[in-house]
Amino acid sequence: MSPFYNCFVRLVIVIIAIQSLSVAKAQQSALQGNLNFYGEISLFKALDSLRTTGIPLAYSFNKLTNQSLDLEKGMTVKEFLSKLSEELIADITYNGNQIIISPHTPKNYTIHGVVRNVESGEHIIGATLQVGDGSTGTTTNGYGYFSITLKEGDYKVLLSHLNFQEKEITVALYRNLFIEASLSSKVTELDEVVVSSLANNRNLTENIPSIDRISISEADGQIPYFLGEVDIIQNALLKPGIRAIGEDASGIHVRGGNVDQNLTLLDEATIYNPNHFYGLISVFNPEAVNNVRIMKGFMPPSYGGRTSSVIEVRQKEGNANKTHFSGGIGVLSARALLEGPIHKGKSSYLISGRQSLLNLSIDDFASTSVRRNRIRFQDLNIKLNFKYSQASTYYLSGYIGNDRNIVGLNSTRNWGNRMLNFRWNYLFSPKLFSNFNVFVSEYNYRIESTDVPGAFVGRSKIADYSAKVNFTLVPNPNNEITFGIGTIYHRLLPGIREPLDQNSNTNRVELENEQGFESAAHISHETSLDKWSFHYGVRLSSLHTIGPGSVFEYRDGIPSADSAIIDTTRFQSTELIYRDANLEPRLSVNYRLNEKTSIKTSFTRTAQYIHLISNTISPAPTDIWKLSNRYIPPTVSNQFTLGLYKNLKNNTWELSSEIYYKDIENNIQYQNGADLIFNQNIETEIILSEARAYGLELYAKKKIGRLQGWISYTLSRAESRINEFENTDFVLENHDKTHDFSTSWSIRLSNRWSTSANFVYNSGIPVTLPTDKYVFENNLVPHFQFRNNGRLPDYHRLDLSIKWEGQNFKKSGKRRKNQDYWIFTIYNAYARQNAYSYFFRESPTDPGIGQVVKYSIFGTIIPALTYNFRF
Amino acid sequence: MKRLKYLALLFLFGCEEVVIVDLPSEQNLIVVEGWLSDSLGNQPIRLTRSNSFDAENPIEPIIDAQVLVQSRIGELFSYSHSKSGYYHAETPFRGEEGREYRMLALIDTIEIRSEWDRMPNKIIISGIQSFSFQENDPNNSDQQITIYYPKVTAIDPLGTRNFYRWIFFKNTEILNDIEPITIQNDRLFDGNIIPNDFQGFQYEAGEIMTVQLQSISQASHDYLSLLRSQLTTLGTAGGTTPAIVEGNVRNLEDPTNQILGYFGTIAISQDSVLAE
Repeated sequence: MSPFYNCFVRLVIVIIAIQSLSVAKAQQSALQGNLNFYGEISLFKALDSLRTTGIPLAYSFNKLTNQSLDLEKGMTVKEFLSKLSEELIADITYNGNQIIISPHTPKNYTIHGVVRNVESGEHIIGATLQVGDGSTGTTTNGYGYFSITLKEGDYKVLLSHLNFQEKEITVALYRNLFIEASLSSKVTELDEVVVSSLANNRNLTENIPSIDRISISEADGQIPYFLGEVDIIQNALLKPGIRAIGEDASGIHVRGGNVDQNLTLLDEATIYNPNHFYGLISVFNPEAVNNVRIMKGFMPPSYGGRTSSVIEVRQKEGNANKTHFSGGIGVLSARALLEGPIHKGKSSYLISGRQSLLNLSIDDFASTSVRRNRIRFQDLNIKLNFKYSQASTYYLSGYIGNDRNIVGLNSTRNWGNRMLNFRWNYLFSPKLFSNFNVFVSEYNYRIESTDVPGAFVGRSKIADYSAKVNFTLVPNPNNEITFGIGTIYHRLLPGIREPLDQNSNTNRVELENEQGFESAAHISHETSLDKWSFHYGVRLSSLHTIGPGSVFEYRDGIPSADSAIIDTTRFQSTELIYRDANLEPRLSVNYRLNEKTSIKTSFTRTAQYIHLISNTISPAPTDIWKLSNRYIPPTVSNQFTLGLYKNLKNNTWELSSEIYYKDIENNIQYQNGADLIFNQNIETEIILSEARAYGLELYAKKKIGRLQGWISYTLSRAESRINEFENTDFVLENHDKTHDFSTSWSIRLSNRWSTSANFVYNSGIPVTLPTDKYVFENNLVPHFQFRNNGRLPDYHRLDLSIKWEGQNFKKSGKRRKNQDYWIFTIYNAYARQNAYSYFFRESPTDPGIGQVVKYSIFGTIIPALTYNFRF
Repeated sequence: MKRLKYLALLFLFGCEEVVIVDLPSEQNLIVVEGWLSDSLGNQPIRLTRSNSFDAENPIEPIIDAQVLVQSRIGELFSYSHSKSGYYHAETPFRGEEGREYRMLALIDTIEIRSEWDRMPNKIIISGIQSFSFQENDPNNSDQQITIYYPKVTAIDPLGTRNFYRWIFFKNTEILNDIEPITIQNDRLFDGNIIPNDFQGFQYEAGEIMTVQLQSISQASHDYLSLLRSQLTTLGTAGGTTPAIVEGNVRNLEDPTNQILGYFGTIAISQDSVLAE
C-alpha cells in the first residue's frame, strides 16, 4: 500500500469524524432548547410543533397512538423526549442526526440478586421465587444467587423456602434490578398446617433427579443417632440407595458403587476420609454445617471425578448481623460455635470446634495395657465472608480434623483431613454469574512406634491443589447455560517409613510419589418448553500424570507378579508418564404430567481417575489412593434412571419411585491375599472387574406439619465379574442388600416437647461361608471354595429420642435471647443383636470342631443424653 | 490397625454368639502339612482330608499314602505312616542350607507334588534377655502384676531378602494363642537387628522363655501371611475378605483339583532365658 493512499484514507476518516462531531453538536444544542408549547396538548400536535422548529424527527401517526400530554412550562426538548420514553408512550432512538419516535414495545429486563436469612444475613440456597400466578419462577443457586429475565411491568414476586416464612415483594421492572431479599425463619407453631400450594414442589420441577437434601436446621436434619450425635452421613443412610456395610459408616455405598466412588466435598474441597472414630460419626460437625446435597443418579456436567455420587456439604457462612455462641455436649463429643459480623450486614466470621470425650471410656474397658486403645478426635471449622460490592463476594473457609489413636504402650497413630478454600462470586452482569474457586485439601496419616530396636515413623499423604471457574448465564427464565473449566493437581505420597531416631534399627523405605493433573471442561444447558424441561451437557475430563516416576514393564504386558518385571522406564520431573481423557455426556429430561406429577429420566457417564487401594471389608485410615496408570485404567460408569414423582395434599407429601441401572467398567478388585502394604508394584495385586447395579427406590416424605418424616424402600442388586472371565456369572458384591427399608419420623408434642423415631430393616449382606475345615499346625482353618455364597441374618433396629426445649419465650411474649434443649436418645431400643459379621473358629470346648460365631457390634440398648444451647 | 477397630468396639458394646448356619456341602480336600528343618530328625509330614466345617467329627487322617521327599541333587527320603496321618522319614536326616526339596505322595490313585523350596540360611541368635512391664491384675484391679517377655538379638544379613518366623515356648509348651503365626519380612530392617518386641507373648516369673527364630523362603512367608489373615482377621470390619489359602502342592493329573496345605523348609535358631 502506497504512502499516498495511506494519507488519503486518514484524511477521509478525519473529515468524517469532524462532520459527525458537528452534526452531533447541532443535535445536542437543539435538544437543549425549550419547547415552544406547554400545558395540555395531544401527542400528535406536540410532535408536529417540534418538527416545524427544525428538530429532525421521524415518526408515523399510523403507528403511534395519540394521547393527551400534560407538559410543564420551560421543559426542554430532551426532557420532553425522555418523558415519552419513561412513561412508555413511545420509544426514542437516535440515528445519526435523526430522532426516530416509534410506538413503545415492551422490553426484557433482568431481576438478579440474593436471598438472605434476615436474622443471620446468610445466603439462602434453594429459595423459590415465583412471579405472578406462579407459572414463571426460579430458585436461588448453590450460592444463594438468582437471576430471572422478564418483560417490563409491575410484578408480585413470592419468595419461599421450607424453613422460612413466605414473603411477597412488589417489583416495578422497567430496568435491570438488583434485589437483596430477606426471609425470616419460620416459627413452628403447634397447629401449623397451612402451606403454600406452590412453594414446595421443587422435587417436581428441578432437573436433577435422584437428589437427597439434608438441611441441618430442619427437623429431619436434626435426628440424633448413635450416642445422641446428629450426623449427616448417618442421616443419609436412611435415604434410598445409600448404604453402609455394617453398623458404622466408614464407607458408604451409593447405588451399588464402591466406597471410593463418592466425591465428598466440603465447601467444594475434596475430603478423602470423611470419618471419625472409625466411621461411627462423620467429620462434618453439625454445628458448622448448613446443608448437604447428595447426587446419586444424574450429575450435572459441572461435577465429576467419581462414578457413584457427589456428597456436597456446605458450611454455614456466619451471622452477618449478630454475634451468637452455640454448642452442645454429649457422651461422645462437645462442640461449640462462635459467629458474628465483622462489618455488620457485609461480612461475617464463623469458628467452630469439636472435641471427642469418649477416649476415657475405652481406657476403662481395656483389659490390659498392651491392648489399651485410646482414640480421640478434634475438628476445627472456620469461615469468613466479605461482601465487597453488590456484584462481588469473597469467601474463605477452612477445616482441620484429626483422629489420634494410641495403641498399646508404644504406638501412636494420627490421621485427618485439612482444607483451605477461597471462593469469589462475581456478577459480570445481571445475567452472568461466576464462581472462582481455589482450594488446597490434604489427608495425612502418621504412625509413630517407639518399640525398640525397630522404632519408626511412617507417613502417607494425599494433597490436592485445585483451581476452577464456573459461569452461569441466564438469558431468560427458560434457559440457563453453565460452563467452566478446572484442574486439580494431585500429589500422592503413598508411604515413607523411616527410623524414629539414630538408635533405631530400621531402614528408610519410601514408595515413589505420584503426581498428576485431573482437569475438566464442561458446558450444560437447562431449558424448559411448556411441560418439558431438559438439562443436557457434556464434560471433557482428563488425567495427565507426570514425573518423576517409574513405570514397570511386565512380561507379555501383564502385571502378573513382581517376578514378571522385565524392564523399568524412569521419567524425569514434569515428563508426561500417562494420559487419558473421557467425554462424559449427561442428560436429564423432566416431563410435568400435571401440577402434582412429573416423570424424569436421566443418563450420566462419569470417569474416575483416582482409586482407593484397600482390600478390607470397610476402609481404614491406613488405606492409600492411587492415580490411574497404564495398568489401572480409569473407572467409567454409565447410569440410567427413570422416575415418577408425585406430590399430594398441597405438597405436604412428596412421593417418588425411581429405577436405575448402572454399569461400571474397570472396577478394582484384588488378588487372593493381596499384599497392599508398602508395595511399589501395586498393579500386580489388582484385578479389573466389570460391575453392575440396578434397583428400584421408593420414597415418601411428609414434610409439613406436627408429624414429619419419611419412608424409604430399596430393592437392589450389586454384582461384578472379573474381566478375564467374561463368560462367567456375575457374583454378588460384598455390599449388596436386596431389601432395604428405613423410616424416620418426628412429632412435635407441645411447644417444648418433641420426639422422634427411626427404624431400619434390611437384608443381611453377602457373606462367604466355609465348605470345609482342615487343620494346619493345630490351627483349625476354614476353607472357602465359593465367594459370597450366603448372607448374614436380616438387620433391623429402632432408635428413639425425645427433645425437651427450655422456655423460648418470655412472659411478655418476646423470644428469649438464650435458647437451650436436652435430647435423650435410645439407640437400638429393643437391644437387637444384629450380626455385623461371622467368625469361623475352633470350638473352645470341643477341639477339632468348627463353630460359626455371630459378632454384633452393638448388642444392647445404648442410651445417651445431650445438651445444646445457643445465645 | 484393622483388628484394633474390632477390639475398640468390642470393649464398648460388642457381643458374640455361636449360631447354627446352613453351610454349603463339603469338598473333602487333601491337606498337606510339612516343614523340613535343618535339624536332624524324622521331619514329619501330615496328610489329612478336610471335612464339612460343621461336621461334629474331627478331620480324617490319611494313613495309607506313599510319601517321599526329594532333593534337587537327587536324594530321596522315604517316609512311612506313624499315626494320625503323620508320616516320618524312615531314616532321620536334616535339610542342607541352599538345597531345594520337595514332597511327593501317592494317595489312592492321586499323585501329588509340592513345589521346590530352598532351605534358607540360618540366622544365629546371638543373645536373649528378659524384659518386663507392670500392669493391672485382671483379677484384682487394685493390684499391679509384672509381665515378662523375651527379646533376642539377631542380625539380619545385609543385601539379601530374608523372611522369618518366630515360635515361642513357655517351658516346653508352644505359646501361640496370642498370635498363631508371627512372621517378618526384612524389607524394613535389612542389615539391622531383627525387631522382636513381642510384648503380647507374656510370661510369669520363673518360667523358661524359649524363642525360635526360623528362616523361611519367600514362598513360605507368602503362604503363612495368607493363612494368618484367614485365621485372625476374618469377620472384622477391617479384616480381609475370605479367600482360599493356596499352598504349593498340586494334583499332577488334575491341577484344578485343589490340594490344601504346604510343604516348606525352615532353618532354626533357638535360645532360652528365665523370666526374672
